[in-house]
Amino acid sequence: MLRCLRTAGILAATGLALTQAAPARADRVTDLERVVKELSSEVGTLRQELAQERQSRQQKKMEESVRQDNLEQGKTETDGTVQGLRSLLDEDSKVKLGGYGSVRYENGTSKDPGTFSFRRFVLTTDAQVTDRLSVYSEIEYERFSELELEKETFKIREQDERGRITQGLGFKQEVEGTDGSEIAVEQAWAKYSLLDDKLAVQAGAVLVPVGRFNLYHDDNLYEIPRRPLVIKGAPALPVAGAWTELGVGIVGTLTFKDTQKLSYWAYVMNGAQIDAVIEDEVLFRERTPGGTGPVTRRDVLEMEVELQPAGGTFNRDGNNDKAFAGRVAYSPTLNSELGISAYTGRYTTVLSSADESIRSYAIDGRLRKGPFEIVGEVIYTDFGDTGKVFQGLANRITNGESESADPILESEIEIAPKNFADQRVGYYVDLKYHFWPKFLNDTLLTKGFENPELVLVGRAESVEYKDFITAVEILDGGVNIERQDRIQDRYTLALAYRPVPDWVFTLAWEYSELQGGSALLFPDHIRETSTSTFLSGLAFAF
Amino acid sequence: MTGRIVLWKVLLPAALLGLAMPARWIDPPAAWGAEEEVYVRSEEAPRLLFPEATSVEKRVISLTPAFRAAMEKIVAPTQPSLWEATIPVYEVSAGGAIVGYAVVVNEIGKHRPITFVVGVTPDVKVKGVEIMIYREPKGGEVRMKGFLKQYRGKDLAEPILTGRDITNISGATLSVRAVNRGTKKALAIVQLVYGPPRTAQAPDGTGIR
Repeated sequence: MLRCLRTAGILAATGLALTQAAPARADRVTDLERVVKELSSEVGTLRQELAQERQSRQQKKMEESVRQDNLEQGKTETDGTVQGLRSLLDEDSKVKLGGYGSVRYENGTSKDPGTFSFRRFVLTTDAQVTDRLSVYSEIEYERFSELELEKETFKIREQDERGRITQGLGFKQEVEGTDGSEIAVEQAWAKYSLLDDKLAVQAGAVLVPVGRFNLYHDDNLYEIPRRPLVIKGAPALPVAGAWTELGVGIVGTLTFKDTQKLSYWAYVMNGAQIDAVIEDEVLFRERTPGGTGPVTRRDVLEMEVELQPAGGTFNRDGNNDKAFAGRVAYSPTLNSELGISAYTGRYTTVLSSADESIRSYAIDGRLRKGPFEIVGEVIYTDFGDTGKVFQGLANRITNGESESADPILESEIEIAPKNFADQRVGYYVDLKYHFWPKFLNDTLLTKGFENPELVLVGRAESVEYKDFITAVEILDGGVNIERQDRIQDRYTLALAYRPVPDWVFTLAWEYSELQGGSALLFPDHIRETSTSTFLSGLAFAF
Repeated sequence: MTGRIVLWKVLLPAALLGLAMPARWIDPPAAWGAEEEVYVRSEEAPRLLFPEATSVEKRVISLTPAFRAAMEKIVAPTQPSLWEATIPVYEVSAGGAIVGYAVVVNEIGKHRPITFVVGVTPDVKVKGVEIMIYREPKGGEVRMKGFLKQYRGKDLAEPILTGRDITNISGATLSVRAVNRGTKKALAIVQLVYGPPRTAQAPDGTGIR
């Protein structure tokens, strides 16, 4: 209203001015121009205010309509049951199917051509049978593409050109599979809750609680598309993660003082043991000794018995002794955790007459302050006297290599130790910076996502294998072992994009360097003492 | 050998002793018959958030298509994972005057709905949040008071997003997001049904940093 009066005043003054005689016409023209400008500005402002008022009235009208509808409806509703929830809480919803997985492209390692690899696809089931009974499982398809078994029993009836008939019975078995394919039960346990979250009994195939990574190993939780060396490539853990054992134990979480939390895991398990993997290789080889010498042929059927510490079977306790593992993690604040853990158990089996045990210890931690985050762990594992393990093996088999007398097709059986060292120790530490630049707000990276983020990550890690066994020769009950200390460092820099918390796209560059010994621990098939690799990955969960 | 001694002479007897313990020594029997972890019951929720309450009246808000459309506009870019058919709202009064509203909402954590109550003041600010029923196997830490107190005083102009104005809990990321979404949903309901008309969209309501 005031504005209208003001506008009217200006108009009246303008009219009055126009009726006066005009000794200074030029000044009046200037005044008139100014007044017209002021009026235009006023009209523009009034238009804007009018539009806002209309919009506000429309919004208010809609909200009022909705409000009335609901208040009317509320008067007639007496039940108050959340109907929409019923369908979510019916019998079917007791079992939930989920999963996670990751795909990676890498290029650069030892001049190998770049390659894609389907690191893993894990299907999870989570069944809440009752409030106190639950079952959880993870079935992992690692680099899995195909596995096919054909078995056949058939009659033989053949006739040669002279009419002679050969008859008999034949058996055929054929296994077809793709390189690196693996199917594994990563977890399968049942939980019986005694005191809500505070105390529960858990039994089945459980993750061994040494360090934090083995427990929280889902690919989508990490920005870097390769697991730390101490976990997978050159494990300082007794067994490469994810490490699962069959057993029973108690788990729980205690919360106190509003933000503090104490979680614990304690299991008795069959435990890790020496595992023998038989690898066959057929080599067709011709040797030209140079010059005009004769070509010699030496075909080899090579059988390698690869021995390494591995997770126990789900069939029986191979090491005939129970192992124990436990972890305690304390969270003083919502965004921090400090964990200590340990594992102990015999790992020698009937394969060796020795009696040696693994003792493993880990300290891990995590802290986030604003956009900065630090996560890491240190693992130390002692395998006892690994020399005794192989001497015990020699006592059992007396001779670890055999050769056939066939001059053309030679057969060899070799013992190949893998990852045997008296001690393994290592660490990794991830430094992260979470951010989102404003200039990306109206791009495809944000469309449909309420809170995407970028994460810049730097990882430093190192592993040392003390008295690492590089070769074992068993002859006539004796054993010759070649050893060396090996140390490897690795550094990774990565930029990750998370459209939602459990999906991550990453670009990363990693650099590995040998610090001790004759070759890298990972990758172990190259001669270079340093290597750099470009990695790109996608990890997801659903 | 040591392993066997510990197993048979320590762990097993301790476990049997624990199982034989009368249930009433360690937990109220009522909570055991439930099908999920019930921390707060509906009838307790309003008074938990508004201790000064002298009377509580229950209404059931129906999420009609129009209401849902209006809510979507208000909470954007937050995207609720669940649209209940009806939402119970408790109108809380003290001395004859409305002191707030307790809104019971549900949001999906990873796979299952989390039921919680959001206390909202008449000027559409969060008075408090309490987890009523938690059904997920992991992430139950969201019921810790130190976490939930972050929501006090929040209104629709604030992002209510992890990493911005809400601190995350490691291992409970998806549950934290569910509480964020549900809190916004509750604020939107009170805004639409009881709140004063909104004059302008919050400048920071984009949800994008």
